[in-house]
Amino acid sequence: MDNQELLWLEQARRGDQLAFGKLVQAYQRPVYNLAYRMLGNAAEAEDAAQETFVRMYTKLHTYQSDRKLSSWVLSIASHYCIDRLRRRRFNWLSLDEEPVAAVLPSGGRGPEERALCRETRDEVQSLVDRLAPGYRAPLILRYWHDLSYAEIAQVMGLSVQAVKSRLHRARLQLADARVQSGATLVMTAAGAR
Amino acid sequence: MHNEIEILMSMVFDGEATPAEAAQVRAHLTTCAACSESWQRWQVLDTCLASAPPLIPPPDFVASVMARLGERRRRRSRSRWFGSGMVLASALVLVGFWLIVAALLWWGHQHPLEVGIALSSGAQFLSSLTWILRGLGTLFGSVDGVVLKLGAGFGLSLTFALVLLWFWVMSRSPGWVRMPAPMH
Repeated sequence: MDNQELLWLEQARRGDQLAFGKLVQAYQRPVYNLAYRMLGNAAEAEDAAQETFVRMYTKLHTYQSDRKLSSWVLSIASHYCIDRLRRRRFNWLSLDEEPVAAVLPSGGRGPEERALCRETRDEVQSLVDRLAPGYRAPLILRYWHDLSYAEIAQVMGLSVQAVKSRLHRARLQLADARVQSGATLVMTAAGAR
Repeated sequence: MHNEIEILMSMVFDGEATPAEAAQVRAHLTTCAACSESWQRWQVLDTCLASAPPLIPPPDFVASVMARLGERRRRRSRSRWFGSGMVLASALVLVGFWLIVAALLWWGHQHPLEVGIALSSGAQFLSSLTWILRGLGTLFGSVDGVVLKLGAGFGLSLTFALVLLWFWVMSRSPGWVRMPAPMH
């Protein structure tokens, strides 16, 4: 964590809303990405990401400076998303839910490239949606947040061994699911409805 | 053996395997067709996952968070006032109720058995009041946990105090342990 973030954190702890806004600005992208990958649609992702920051604000006094701020924020987000997924109570191996389009970086992209981008995103999301929450979070933290096993373990409150095992099982499940569904998962998802 | 190698394969993909473990995986892949096939499938999966584009939050995201935070703070403040008001009101109602029961029983020279029934009814009333308080708290935003605990503790202490007071008063009244006359 850089000094500027440390300063914002201290100011936010004293009730400075502007400083907390700066922290939200700094971490909105990783938190939103995590929420989207976990929940699979833009509306829920936005709501979950907002709730993560509200919870972060109420827990500011519990943050310990020996921990990376990013790990702490992602930890709040992943636990919240896992709880939310568990409340949904549906079969994780189904493909009933089609992800809603999220806002993508559009600068300099043509319509064809944007369509391809959306297709890739949907295909990946439909793959990730098949995993149970406990397997989904380590995979997302590994692939899109580039966290090491030790960092994922810290974020999720697991042992390194458990992270290793969950990533292995997640790969096995996803590779099997991908083969069973065929290469174009978007078409399969549409057909399953 | 396959399971161990698969875990090592997974670690190689994640960049967590040591050079010796990576070499062990490579050596195994040259001799095992099943693991080699898994490796290729995982490679395709890895490329697919890594190719997913990053997502951008809506432009007004920060403003929405700050608005939600403000709303949450206002709601908490309202619920704290509401909770305190409810606890005070319930305490007043309780005191009034018990005083009326005590006065009616005292002046009516009722039997201790009837007093017991009255006390039991009072306890039921207290319990109902707690549920009403909880229900209203849910309706108007969560009542602060500390306020609720304080209120419940106060109500319970008050009940015990009034029960003890009642028995003290009854013990001073002559013939308080006399049983009702048998019915003919």
